Amino acid sequence: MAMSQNFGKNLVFLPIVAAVILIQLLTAWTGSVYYLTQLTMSAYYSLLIVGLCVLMGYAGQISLGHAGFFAIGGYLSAALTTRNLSPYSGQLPVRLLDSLGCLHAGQDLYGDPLLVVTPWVACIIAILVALAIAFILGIPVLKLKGHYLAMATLGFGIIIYRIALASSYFGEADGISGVPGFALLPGLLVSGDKAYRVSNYYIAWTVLLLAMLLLRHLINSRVGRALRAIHGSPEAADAMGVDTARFKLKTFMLSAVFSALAGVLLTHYNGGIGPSEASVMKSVRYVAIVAVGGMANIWGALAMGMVLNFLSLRGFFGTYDDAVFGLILITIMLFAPNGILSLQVRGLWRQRGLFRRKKPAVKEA
Amino acid sequence: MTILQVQGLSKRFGGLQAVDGVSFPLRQGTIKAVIGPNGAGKTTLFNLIAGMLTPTAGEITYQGKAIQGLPPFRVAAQGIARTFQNIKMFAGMTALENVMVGRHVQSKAGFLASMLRTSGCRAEERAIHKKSLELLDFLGIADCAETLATNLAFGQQRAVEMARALALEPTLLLLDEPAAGLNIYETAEIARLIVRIRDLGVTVLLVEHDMSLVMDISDEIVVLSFGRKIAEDIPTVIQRDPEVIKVYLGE
Repeated sequence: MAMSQNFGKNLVFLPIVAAVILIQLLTAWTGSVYYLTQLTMSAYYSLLIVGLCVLMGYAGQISLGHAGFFAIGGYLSAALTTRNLSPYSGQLPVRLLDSLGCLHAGQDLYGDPLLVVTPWVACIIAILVALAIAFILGIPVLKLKGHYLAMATLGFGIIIYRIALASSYFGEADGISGVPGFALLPGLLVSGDKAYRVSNYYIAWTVLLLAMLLLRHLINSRVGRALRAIHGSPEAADAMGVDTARFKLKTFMLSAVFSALAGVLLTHYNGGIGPSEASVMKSVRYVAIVAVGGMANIWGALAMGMVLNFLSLRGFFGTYDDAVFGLILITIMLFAPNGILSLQVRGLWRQRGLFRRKKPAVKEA
Repeated sequence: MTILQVQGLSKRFGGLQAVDGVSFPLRQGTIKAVIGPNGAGKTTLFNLIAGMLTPTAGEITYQGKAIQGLPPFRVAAQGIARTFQNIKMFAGMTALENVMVGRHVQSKAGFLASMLRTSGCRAEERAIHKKSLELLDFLGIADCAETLATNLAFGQQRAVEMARALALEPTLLLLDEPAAGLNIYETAEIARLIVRIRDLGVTVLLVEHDMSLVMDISDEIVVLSFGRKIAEDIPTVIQRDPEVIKVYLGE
């Protein structure tokens, strides 16, 4: 699977932008605008998935804890923009935030004073916290390899899940609701309100495609080559002067930021977040989607992220939702470890020779 | 001028003294070979210098700096490049991309600059591309540039590995059995290459089994046996050294 190396050519985005616009027009013509809701949500999940793809496919590090970073973004943003600070308005930290313009004063349903953090500030705090946690977690954990790394990140995911479930600040099993819209720019509101459905579809896709552009640049750069080199031969990468630990850590932090941003935006879009977003099954799902997409293929991850999340959100898999993703993971690992797009029409059996004895791999000394 | 000084270098693995108090200088612009029978400690010595192992005792001084115990990527940053006995290509990358990775220490674009593809980053990328192509050309494998490195013939992979190491613009090049697995024609080709690399001003230290290669191209030879240095001299003297003959042929 040779990498296409057309430097500086981002023409590949044109058909995608055209498809995004076409889908929106189609839903408008056919009166099925409601599809845009799931497409918007899928785009945010895909933002997490393409970030995870760079970590898994290019840096070669697995993470079963990325739902945790999504939850850190979503929950912090939700809590900060809904939890009333007015009882503490006399205290120094709150006064300080207020004087910096970080707080928004209003009234709650009962007409009582409501003082909350503004979405932009909450978003920045949430992302910085995710970044810091990824840094602190990444230093020891990324020293592990293969399934040990999977276990450690799984542990992290479980911790975040239990915190979300147990903490009253984060709403326990109910999660947090009533999260306000997030005005990215004046008049450009991330919100699930019907009136903003079309604009939110475009906001989500703009964010996602910008992320794709950045990742594409990254992959075809000195950094991307170093990451692929680490994946290809860690010893040789080390001998070429690549500080492998540092590059792995930075990629881990980058993917954590993508996840947290996805969490922030989707939470404002949905108007809330619940503990299921932090669950380990979500992390497994993300890993499965990256695997189906072909691991080291951000376009495959994007395509699969959109298709599978959309089907899942439309209830296509019914009550077997999580089981479907488990099945996908098993099937892909068996028949198409390079992703579904790598499958030839020649037939699944010949692809892997499952029922034939494997010839020993001939390797020159 | 001495570019590398190995002084009293020792490495013990449990009960095995793999390298035992080895000392030798390496003069700038020369080719020095380390030879010895199997298990003499050549590869251990090599890995100690390349930073893959930490010595139990002794010092490695490179251009006046102690480098023993530095991790490999820091050793590389000092200007010491290496190849591997069992070739380690970056899988999934073309020959050209493999060499471009070698430009890592000579370039500096980080995550943010790369993602934003700043103009400095683009200029650097063009320079990396150009230099890497030049190196493939220097090694006579420019037509393999776009081929996946792992699909190349063995001798070509070895050349890609050398181009990759040269991409660091090293002052010292460590070659781990450069002729291993090559036929006599390919070995002769590699020998010519090593001499050309030396003539560029790069100092070469190589570990090798192939006696004809070593005798042909080395300026000096160090002979190891059971972890100890038993001889160090120019090839014609080494060939007649009774101790060396005893070690190689038995009594």
